Amino acid sequence: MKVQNNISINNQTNFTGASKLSEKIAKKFAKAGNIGEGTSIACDFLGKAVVVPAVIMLASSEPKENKEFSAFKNPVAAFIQLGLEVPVLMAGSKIVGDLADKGYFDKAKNARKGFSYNEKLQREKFIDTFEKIADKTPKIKEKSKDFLTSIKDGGYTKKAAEDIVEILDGADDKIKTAAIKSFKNFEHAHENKFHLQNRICFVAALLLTPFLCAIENYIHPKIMNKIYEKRAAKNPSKMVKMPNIETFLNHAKGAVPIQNKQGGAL
Amino acid sequence: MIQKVASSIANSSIVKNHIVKSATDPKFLARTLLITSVSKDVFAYALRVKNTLNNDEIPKEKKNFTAKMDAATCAATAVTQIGAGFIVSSEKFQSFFTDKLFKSLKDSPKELKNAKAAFNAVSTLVLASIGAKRILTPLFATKIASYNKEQKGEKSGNISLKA
Repeated sequence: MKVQNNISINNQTNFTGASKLSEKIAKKFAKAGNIGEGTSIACDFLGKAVVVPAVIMLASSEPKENKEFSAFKNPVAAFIQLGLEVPVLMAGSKIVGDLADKGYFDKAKNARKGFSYNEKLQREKFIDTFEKIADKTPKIKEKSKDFLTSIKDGGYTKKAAEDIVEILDGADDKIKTAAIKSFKNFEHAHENKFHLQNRICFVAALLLTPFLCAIENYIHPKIMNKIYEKRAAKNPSKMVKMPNIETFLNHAKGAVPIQNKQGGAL
Repeated sequence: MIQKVASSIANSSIVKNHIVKSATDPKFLARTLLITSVSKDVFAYALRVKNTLNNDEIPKEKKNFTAKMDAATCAATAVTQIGAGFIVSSEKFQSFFTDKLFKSLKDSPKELKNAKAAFNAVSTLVLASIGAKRILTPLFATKIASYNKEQKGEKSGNISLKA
């Protein structure tokens, strides 16, 4: 009976733990924003630097040296990408964002209909609208001090989108509609700008690819040669004397295995 | 002049619809990220094959395997990533996981919507660009490259060096 109770308590504890974990994961995903090229680059880096070399080394039946040469190409490419592509794309994204905030990508006709990339302007408009509403409604003013500070200092966040619904709860319908409409314009401009930055970064990444490949192609053999040189210096007995092509063809035709220094078949 | 062209492109109906759909449709966003990732890979692998074959610093016997590996990876990565990504981002696959994972957000529709959108994009990217691209692709590509090498060896009457 006691054992049964213990099992039941353990099961209950595990269940509560799993449910709390699932709740935490759910909250994290609910607050996650700005998933775009950055997330894509991060996944790519992890896969390239860690997963691919492991898979090539484990799955291929090629000679170890050939596998190593191919497998090491990926971490080299991943670090070149991290060192060159990421800073260039981050700088590019900032430039696009700054230009968008200056109205560089907006067209008056679309902006009037509520389609804008100018997040800064829409934020200022929202703050202005909200402050006017708050001045007339002391209850909203009281509740919105932190909210306004966070918008002014940090811009749009998923939390702000939740907070405004709470702040306007119970307010007059007219006030609510005006504030929400202004906030939606701000939210849409934020999202439009983010997705525009992502698509421009994608085009920039494509344009950058030939340069990255050329650099990778230049650096990869050099790194591999260094690795082989170091390895050979540490353990000269393991060096394999490669046959010349004529010897190889003669042996191949006669189906005689070529012997390396230690007598193993090549 | 540049500004005029930039704002015309950014406000063209194709770009505008694409941007609006990316912000409102999680499946569309996930698939857009997938397609952009795959197209970068295909372009990079095609360049790598060309560069490897033209690179005299790579020893001949390693050059062929590395180039074949890159060409096979290029084909395999496009097929496996798009296949896996489209399956993962589909409503059926997503609802199977999100219904269980986000039970606690049932009473908060806005949070649930955000969580589902984020999960769609992240799971599609992780499973396609780590699972399919990094595990399935090298497995297929290694087999394709080795098979190609064996075939060539047989055709030219040589004995394959493969163990």
